[in-house]
Amino acid sequence: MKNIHVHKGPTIWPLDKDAFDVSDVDKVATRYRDELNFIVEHVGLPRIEDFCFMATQEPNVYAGLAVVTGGLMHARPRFFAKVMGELLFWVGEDKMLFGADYAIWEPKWQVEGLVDWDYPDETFSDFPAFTTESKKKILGLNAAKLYDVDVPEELRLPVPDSEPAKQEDAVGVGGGA
Amino acid sequence: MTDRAHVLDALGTVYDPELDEPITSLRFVSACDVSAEGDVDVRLRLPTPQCAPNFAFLMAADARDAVRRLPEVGGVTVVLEDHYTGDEINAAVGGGGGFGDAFPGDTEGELDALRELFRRKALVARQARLCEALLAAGETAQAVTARRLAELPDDPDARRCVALREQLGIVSDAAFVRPDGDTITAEDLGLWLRRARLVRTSLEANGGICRSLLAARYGDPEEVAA
Repeated sequence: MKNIHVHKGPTIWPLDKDAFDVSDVDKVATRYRDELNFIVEHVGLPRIEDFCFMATQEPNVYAGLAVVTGGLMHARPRFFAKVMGELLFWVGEDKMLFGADYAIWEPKWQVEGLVDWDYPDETFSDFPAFTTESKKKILGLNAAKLYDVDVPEELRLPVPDSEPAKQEDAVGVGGGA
Repeated sequence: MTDRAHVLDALGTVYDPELDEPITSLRFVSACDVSAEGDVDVRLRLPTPQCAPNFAFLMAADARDAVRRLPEVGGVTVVLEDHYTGDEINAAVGGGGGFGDAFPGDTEGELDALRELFRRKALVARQARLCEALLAAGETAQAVTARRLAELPDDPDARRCVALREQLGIVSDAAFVRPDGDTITAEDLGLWLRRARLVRTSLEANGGICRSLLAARYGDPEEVAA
């Protein structure tokens, strides 16, 4: 076992911590940097900022898009665009994984929606582009890499990985991670 | 004697620590009564029964403290209604206790660190709004980072930044600072603003969710003071 999908939810103990603190994942990801990967489902929402700064610093922390796609793409399209833009900027398209939250939502319309998706207008122009390559990675190639699934030659991407934000750039509000 | 308007003014100084807005404008004050003898009874409500107990406690305790500071006030009762830890919070707040008294064994300490963390986030988010407005109006990165605190436009975000900086003990006179109070240079501005904008996005989105949940739970917006 090497991939852990973390479903973040409210803190049960201790209650004086922020209910949506992501530092527990931060700690364990640092400790098992070479052995384990952590895919944080719904990307730490509602603490997307803490998650982005942490995932930028930890090479083995990934953004799981479950709930993000199903819950926001149509219901809150502008917020969805901001979340996607921030994830692409900070975490990068090589560490984002599609998730459908199956049983709440079926995946078909979410896959199709993401394939068709782009930023709604030019006010999002300073976020990284969401290209066909990004979509291939997020919808399958990144997961194939994590789970050692052999990708047929004709479906592989020819170009090198893009570079997300640097680790040292992601200094969070808390100072540390 | 303290009247209802004074009590509401005092409650207007109590902020939701996460959303950085007064509990009055968030419509978290559901009732506020002052008796002929000057006794005050305040009822608080939140967007969901499961809102984080730590933030709920801070708002109830801060409301109690703010009203108690009023001159010639009688007895003060603050009750958080419709919350899954309402009994624990109300007992501690009523008895003048802290968070540890409300949740013995369930907390490692009081809420000072949590409050400070969210004050820093609030400062970052407000600075992002102010800075974006200046840049949009054509100000250069050099000019923005050279601005002094006293040179910020006189608007609610700037006034709130001043208050938050005082609470955080940030002494720099630069208009825009890092979360820890350090100054920023023109070269740092782009990335500083990137980070600040993400914090702002998160805070505004969460505020929007809270408002819509409250509206779904208690009905459409109406003047709390009405």
